Amino acid sequence: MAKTPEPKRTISLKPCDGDVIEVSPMIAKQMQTIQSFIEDDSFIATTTIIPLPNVTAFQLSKIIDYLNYHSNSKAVADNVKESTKKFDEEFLKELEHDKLKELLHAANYLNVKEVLDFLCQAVADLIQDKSVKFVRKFFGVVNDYSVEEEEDIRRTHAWAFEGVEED
Amino acid sequence: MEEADDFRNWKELLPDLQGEIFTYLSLQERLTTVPCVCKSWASTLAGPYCWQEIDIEEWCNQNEPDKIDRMLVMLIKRSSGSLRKLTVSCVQTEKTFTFIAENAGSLQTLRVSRCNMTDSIVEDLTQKLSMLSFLDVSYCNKIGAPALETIGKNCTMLEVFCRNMHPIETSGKPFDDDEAIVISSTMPNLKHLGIAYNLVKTEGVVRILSNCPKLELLDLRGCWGVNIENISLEKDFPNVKVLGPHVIDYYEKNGWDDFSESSGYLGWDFMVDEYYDDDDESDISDDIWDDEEGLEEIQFTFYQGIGNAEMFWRPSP
Repeated sequence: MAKTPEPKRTISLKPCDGDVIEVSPMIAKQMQTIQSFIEDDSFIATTTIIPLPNVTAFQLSKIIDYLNYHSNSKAVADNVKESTKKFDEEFLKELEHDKLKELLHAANYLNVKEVLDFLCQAVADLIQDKSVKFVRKFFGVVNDYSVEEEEDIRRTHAWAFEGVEED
Repeated sequence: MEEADDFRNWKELLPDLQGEIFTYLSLQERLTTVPCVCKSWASTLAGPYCWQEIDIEEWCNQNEPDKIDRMLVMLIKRSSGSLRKLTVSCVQTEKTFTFIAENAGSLQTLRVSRCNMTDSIVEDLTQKLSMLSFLDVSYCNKIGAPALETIGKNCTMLEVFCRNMHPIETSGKPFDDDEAIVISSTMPNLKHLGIAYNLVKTEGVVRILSNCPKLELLDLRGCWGVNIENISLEKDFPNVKVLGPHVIDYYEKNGWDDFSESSGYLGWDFMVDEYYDDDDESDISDDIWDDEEGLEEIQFTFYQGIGNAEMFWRPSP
């Protein structure tokens, strides 16, 4: 049954501010932007280095960490939910707020759906159940409505949630 | 909030991403908080991008029919013809279904459970919604085999069809294969079919299995007219996973240990979700799940919104 192991094949990614990072094809496949490089005829896995001018080494390694963890955790059946939740929480904790936004942009540039979905959810969680005032302050948004305009907008959809119990 | 300063440059967030983030918020948040923040948030939100997928089932369960109609019309207008996925329940009026039919021709996934639809409404609706690949008409008690036939004939791309019934509706009624025959003869492309608590008999199930060669999952839980032992599943239909008819089979077979954590019908919903989660990750790792939108969120849920459903848990009639 002895089979010659397949030659080690990794994809070389070069972030804008650091050394080349090698990723497995399985991880690279989840980055749509990288995938389109790989599918290009001129791509040679052993020598081609894919430059990523919009992504820092920190962002790239965070994204790879996330993908690695989540693709491995699928294989292990026990307590997946618990440990995944813990990993996700830790993952976000390590991100200062500014870095969260930048990482969102990096994930968007690399077009890696799993990370993008996760980060969008994380930002949405910051907004959910907060007051308008809080959201403005939190995101540094300046209120450009007049008092009357704001009141109008507030009233527009109020009918839909009247009489519904607050959670 | 100390961190407020760090967020100052969130304004630079790409509008696409902003819109994407809004889609993760609850309906209430999207309609009350977000548009009040500033004009640019309001305009991002008003665009169709945020409303390509509309799921207001939970909201529908808490609101009166006239409010549901008003909300649906408003949201569907916002989607500007780009609506892909719509999940509602308890829609009562014919003119709202007409509105959906006229304005949501791009729908691929439609879930209209517990709605007051008649066979003729279904016919009108599905004539306009021929793109559907996922349709859920569970607990719509007024429709029958004729409606299912028009669905099958009009929606030729249908891959997932849910026609689960509530045990109260079907208990005591005579078994018959009318709906099963229509399904088997008009929906040949089905991959997933949910007909829990349907009055189908063994022959009807065999017809479905024989005529829907792409079938991967058949949910027969609570279909007491089916004698599953009389069908040689492994031999004749090795590609199909069958759930039921005995409700208890599922968690016994799969060794569900944590069941005691959750109680009643909610626990059951959770289990079903788990089942599909597992599915996604193990057996069906092929690209079919990536390629075909809509299939990834399949759930067959039971007894939603019915508080005392536990009493129907008994595995035998």
